[in-house]
Amino acid sequence: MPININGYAVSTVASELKFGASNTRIAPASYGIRDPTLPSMWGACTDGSATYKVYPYPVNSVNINIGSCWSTSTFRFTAPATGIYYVSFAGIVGDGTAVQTAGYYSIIINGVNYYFSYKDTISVWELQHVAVMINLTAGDWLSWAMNLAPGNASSYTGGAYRSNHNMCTIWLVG
Amino acid sequence: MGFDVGGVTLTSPGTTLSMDSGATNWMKVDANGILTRPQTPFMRGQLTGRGSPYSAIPLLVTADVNVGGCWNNTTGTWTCPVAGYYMVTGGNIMGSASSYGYFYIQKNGTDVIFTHWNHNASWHYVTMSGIIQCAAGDTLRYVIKGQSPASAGAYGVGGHCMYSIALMA
Repeated sequence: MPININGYAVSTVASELKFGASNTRIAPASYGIRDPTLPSMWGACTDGSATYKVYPYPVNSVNINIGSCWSTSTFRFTAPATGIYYVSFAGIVGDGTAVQTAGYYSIIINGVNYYFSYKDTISVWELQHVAVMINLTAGDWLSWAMNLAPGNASSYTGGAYRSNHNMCTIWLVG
Repeated sequence: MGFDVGGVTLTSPGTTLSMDSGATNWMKVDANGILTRPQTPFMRGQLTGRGSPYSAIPLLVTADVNVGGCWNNTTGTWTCPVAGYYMVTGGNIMGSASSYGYFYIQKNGTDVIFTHWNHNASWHYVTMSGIIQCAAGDTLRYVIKGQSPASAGAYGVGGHCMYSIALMA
């Protein structure tokens, strides 16, 4: 028999604790908490453009996009809930030809440069990985800037390769 | 009116569920089923005002956000408030010219995981992520060591480096 809390039902389904009408469950006999609406995305930029210095970084192909938080037209992740989000970009940087290039790789929140990294390559096709957990308020949006404003920008030609070879991930941690 | 379970109260306006104790919102399930834990122990921070290259043991990261007060800026130490699995991320830009070395996460002063760089120029970015099982009271910290030249280290002046720790489960 469910517990009614001001119209909100906490009940059990197949021995799992169910929250309201959602599919979020606590499954004590097996795994813990199942959170199938966990806001998350995993995707890549695959447009093949040769413009390496770019903002926003156009992650146009998403393998996972739970809650449709990532937009493949604005290239932004909009937080549906206040919380802590893991944010990761890993991809080839440089300009595709010069062995030594430099550039800034920034995390942009609500249009403002937040955290940034920098890399001075010594050969073509080097990998850059930028990962950090960031607290967002519901409605905040996040994107990546590759050596271009509003992120840090330099006159050097470094940027991010845009034909696969990159992995972009965001998910709600807690 | 909430449902009291031994002092822990389940409350709802009808579309969300919150688990509270007093004014503390421990857990929330919103109308879409998204589960958040607003009190999750969490820090994110940077190196700032530490000079360059910087490799003091441990790295004295300055927290920009420090939920639960687990991170100590003065000692460069995270103290786990509860047993669990903690995600740790770190990213440094190495400011010395050609150099190599190791970037560690230590638990209770002992190496747990590390990554390695070996680069023929300055400004090489070195990152690491891991999930570490900890007991309540265990400490975590970031360490750069084993580098050559001995002066090699991170750019500690400001920006460029980023660090975060959070309780995952």
